[in-house]
This record gives sequence, structure tokens and C-alpha cells, in this order.
Amino acid sequence: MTEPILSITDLQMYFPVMKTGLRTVKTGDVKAVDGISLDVMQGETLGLVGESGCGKSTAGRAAIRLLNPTGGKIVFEGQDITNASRRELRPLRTRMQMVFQDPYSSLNPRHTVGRIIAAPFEIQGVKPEGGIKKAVQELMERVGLNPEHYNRYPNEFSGGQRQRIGVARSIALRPSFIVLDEPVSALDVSIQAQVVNLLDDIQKEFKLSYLFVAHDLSVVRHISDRVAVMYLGHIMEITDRDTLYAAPQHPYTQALLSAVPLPDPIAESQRERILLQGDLPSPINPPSGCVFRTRCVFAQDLCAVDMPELREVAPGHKIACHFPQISLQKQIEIRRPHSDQPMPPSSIQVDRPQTSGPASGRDFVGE
Amino acid sequence: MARTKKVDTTQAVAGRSPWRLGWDRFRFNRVAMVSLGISIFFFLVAYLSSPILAILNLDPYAMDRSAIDLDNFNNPIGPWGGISTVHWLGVEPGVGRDVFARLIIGARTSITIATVTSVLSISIGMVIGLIAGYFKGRVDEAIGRIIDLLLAFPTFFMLIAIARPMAERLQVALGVDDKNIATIILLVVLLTIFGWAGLARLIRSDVLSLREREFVLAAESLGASHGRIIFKELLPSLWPKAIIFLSLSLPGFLTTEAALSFLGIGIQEPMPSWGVMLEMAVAKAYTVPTYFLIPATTLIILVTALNLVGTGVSDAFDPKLERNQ
Repeated sequence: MTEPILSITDLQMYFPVMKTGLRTVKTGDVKAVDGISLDVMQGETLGLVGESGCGKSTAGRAAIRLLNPTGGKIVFEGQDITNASRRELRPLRTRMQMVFQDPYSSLNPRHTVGRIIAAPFEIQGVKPEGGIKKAVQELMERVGLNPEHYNRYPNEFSGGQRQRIGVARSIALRPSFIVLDEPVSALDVSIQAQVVNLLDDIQKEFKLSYLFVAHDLSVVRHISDRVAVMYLGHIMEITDRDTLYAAPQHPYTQALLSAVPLPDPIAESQRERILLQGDLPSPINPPSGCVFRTRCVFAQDLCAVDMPELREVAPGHKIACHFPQISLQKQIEIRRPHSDQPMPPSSIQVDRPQTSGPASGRDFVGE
Repeated sequence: MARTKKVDTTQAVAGRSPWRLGWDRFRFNRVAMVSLGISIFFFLVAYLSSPILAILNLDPYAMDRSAIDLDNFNNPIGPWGGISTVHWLGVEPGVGRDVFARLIIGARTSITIATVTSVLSISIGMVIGLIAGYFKGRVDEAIGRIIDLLLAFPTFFMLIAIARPMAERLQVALGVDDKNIATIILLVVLLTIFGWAGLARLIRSDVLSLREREFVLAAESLGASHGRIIFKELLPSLWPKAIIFLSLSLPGFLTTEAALSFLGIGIQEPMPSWGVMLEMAVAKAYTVPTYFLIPATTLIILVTALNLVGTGVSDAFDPKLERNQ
């Protein structure tokens, strides 16, 4: 449990922005992932959450070298794979796998299910005991598909079944590590639970480690041991699941968690919600200092100048913030006297710094 | 419950492939089915022309003096260009060769040139388009410029300018007696060189979008080689496009061959081809209109049928493009 199976240090993944014309010129970079560090331990599930466009999928793809990272270091099972060539990676592909987000695009529509699940054996030249067909049918059975549907095409399956096919393909070679790139976000809620439970069972059976990329906080809470929160290519907070959901310290994590509706309508109508204003800044031209400062309720001058490092605030709990917020409720009480705006009855406006602090326009709305 | 389930699975275990789905849609397109039937009929007659003529005891080169009127500018005896039970489609004015025999032997020549050229240019176009779209970047850039050049090139004028002298040189180089053999080879080669570019561009743009689909990434995550991704993952999705292109380029090359032969730079007398027949017939178009109309109509029917098959195929494989039928 103590050895990390995958260790990422300061990973950067930039995509060049080209201006086409008579001559194609590079005008900048999309900094999809800008220096993230994380470890995935043996047998654990690390959840990677963040809003759309924060670079979490890119990070997942770069982690198993489906992309060539711009900078940083990736160590998988003790082997540095940062600059490994296609050929060097080939044998490692049996150890690390991926399940994709879109079950409609991740299966080749021109191949039968049998052929799709047999592809790992063919590509890696593995001859399973009893033949490929038998192995494929066992896999289909394992993930809850009818093995008789071996000769069917993906278009004849539902989204959930297709995702099961994707899972069968990824576990065919008995990997030790799987990147799950939003494996359930394209599925109906009722199907999501089935697939998540399948992933859970398979993890126990094959002693797998997962990097679970998702934006659905409740799914992540269900499956993860630890959770990393990403924002604009940076990790904001990383800690064990229970701490993250019970006592988040980063303002962004708090905002993210407050977006989850409560199932109890009375509690829902009474709770405080942090509504982030504005949009995700462009990853081509990220804000100076802390990337979250433009939308942070608590941002100060320092945040615009100095980028906070990911530092340990408690054992196993790292956050990247100059002003960690211990408790949401407490903060509101501290902030209230500073605001000289008249308060509308239904909302509290906090943090309109008149003299200091970066740009205004961030509202703190609650009921 | 369990019993019914078992029946269901055994009945529908084999899946319906995308090919099968496309064929099922194609089958219900009556125009396309009729056109397909006509096209197949033409191909069969063309390639069975030798046995057919042997059975009918006809020879495309034999001159039947009894069928032409030596006192009337050697025009065929009888109405409709001399159509009779012996000569089904009449005889040629002047020499009295059987038009039916020449038409189906000529069909074989014309269809062979068109088919070979189409298949070659499709193979080259698919491979080059796949490579350009898959590798992107510099490779794509270089191939793109070559395609631009080929598409902008005035192919037809160049063929007119160089086909005859090159065919003569090729004949010497190959050491064949019949100049037409050299001409056929030359036509196929030249038309292929200029014919693949259009399809390559189409395939390239398809591959550019196809390669971003996650199943390509999935193959990559399994450690698949470039070759496997290109030929096993991407190629199967491109066959429908190739078939559509085949059914559209066949009539294209058919008419090109006819036009070149008509202009006297393709196949030469006495070997029959549809272009040669048209060239011979134009001078007699007013005195013996049947002689001109028969090859012209045949060409129009086959070209139209092939085009309609092409439209049918593209409809069948692109269900999003719903037409009112």
C-alpha cells in the first residue's frame, strides 16, 4: 500500500496554439496541465475532479503516455516513462490501461464486440489459455455481458453495455493500473451505479489501482480513497476522501462541494451556497499568481503575485492556497463586517474590497 | 421467462454488421437496385463477350460484304442500319462489321480500362489519404501540395499532347505488336496518376475526424502500431466512401476513355471500343443514325446506371442524409 504505482511530478502538458496564414506561427500554448504532482498508491483509487476544461482528462491521458508531456516526470511501477518511445511503452501497455468517457466513440463501430475485446490479445501477441475466443467470452461474462453476443456490433448495445465492453477490453491483459476517464458521465444515473459497482468489484478481484477522472462529486465520493481537485491545470487540494468532503480547506473545493444539491429540500433551501462568478479563465493566458484568484471570494493582493505551492497542512492533506479556509461558516462571519454594501434580504454579499484586492465582481450568495 | 429468453438469444446471436445495415437500406431503394442490375448486366455481357460471340458465330473483325449496299456508298442494306436476325444491331457502314459484336467487345475494352483505372486510383487514393490524415503535420502538408498540383493540372490537354508519342515509345519498349496494348497500359497509368488525388483528399478529411475518435486512442493505449491503427481501425470505416467513389469514378473513366478514343488519341481502329465506335459513327450520323445512336445510348445508359448506384450507396451508408423517395 505504501509504494506508489504511478508517480507524477510537476507534469506539464501544453498544446501549441497555431496561427495559420502564409506561414504557420505559434502564438502561444494552451496550458491544459501546468505542473501537477500526484501519486497513485498500490490498490487505491485516486479521484481527480474539476470542472470542464480544467485539464483533468488531459492529465489522465498524459499519465499513461497517450500524450507526450511538455515537462515533468512520470514514473510507473518504478520505471521512468516520461520520454519512453512508442516501442518502449508497448510492453508497459499490458500493465496500464484506460477506460474512455464516450462509450459511443470508444468502440470501433465496424468491429464486432468479440474483435474489440480480442484486440488487446492480438496487439500484444498474448495467447491466453484455451484460445482468444474463450478468454473473450470469459471477460464478457465477468463484466456482465451475454457471451453469446460475441458476434454483435457495438451499435446493438446500450450505453451501459458498451461501457462494460470498454471495461472488458481494459482488463483483458490483467493490468495493474487503469485510468478511468469519466467512465460513467455519459450514462444514465441508474446505469451509472451498476458500472461503478462493476468497477469496484473488478478492482477488488484484480487488485487494481485506479485514477478516476470525473466531474461528478457523488460518484467520486463513492469510489475514491483519495481525491485531488484540479482547476485550470493545477491541483488545488488533495487529501483522503472523508477529509475532502467533510472539511475542505481550499476555497475552490468549498465552492465545488457547495454546488452539490442536497437531497433534503428543507436543508437545501436553508444551506449556504457559494456561487462562483464568471467563467474559467483561458488556459492560454492564465491569471498571474494563483489561477483561482479571479473567482476567489477570499483573494488578496498576495494571490495575484505569488503562486501558492501545494503544501501539506495536515498529514496527507495538501492544498495550494495562501489563505486556507478552515470553516465556511466562520469565514462568512469574519467577512461580513468588512462589507459596507447594503445586504439584500435573500443574499449576503461578501468581499467587495474597496481599497485592496484584485478585481471585484465576486459575489457570495446564500440564503 | 427463462425459456423465452433462450429462444431469443439463439435467434439473434449473429449481429447485423454496418455492411448488412447498409445493404438492407440499399435493397429498398428501387432505382438503385434497378441501376445495379443494369450495371451488372453490362459487366456480364462485356466479360462474357467472347463466349457469346462464339455461340452466335459472330466476329467483330469479320466484314460481311453481303450486308452492305455497294451501290449506295457502302451503307448497310435495310432500314435501321441493317438490323436483321443475323446482325442484331446492324452492320458498320463501309466495311460491314457486326455492330453488336463490336459493341460488346468494345464494352470489354472500355469497361476494363475504366475498372482497372478506378481500382488503382482508389487504392492509391485511400492509402495516401489515410497516411496524410493519420500522420497530419508535415506529411499532410507535403501530400496536400502534391494533390493541389494534380487537381490543378490540365490533365486532358496533357493527355492529348503526350498520349500518342508516349504510346509509340511504350510499344517499342514493351516490344508488343499491337499498339493498342501499349495505349491501354498508358491510359490506365496516366489516368491513375491524375485520378487518385480527389479521393485522397476526401479520405484525408474523413481520417482527420475519425482519428480523433476515442477508439483510436483505445487502440493506442493497447500499444497498437501505426499500421494496425491505419489498416484495422480506420480503413474499415472508409470502405463505403471508396465504394461510392468507385461507382462515380467508373462512369467518369468510361467517358474519359470514350472521349480520348473519339479524339483519336486513345484506342485506335481496328480494335473496338465505345469511343472508337463513336468516332467512326459521327461522320455517318445523318445517313445511318442507328450506327451512331447505339454506342451513344449504351454509354449513356451505363454511365447513368452507375451514377445512380453511387447515389444509392451513399444514401444507404449515410442514413443521416435522408432523401424523400
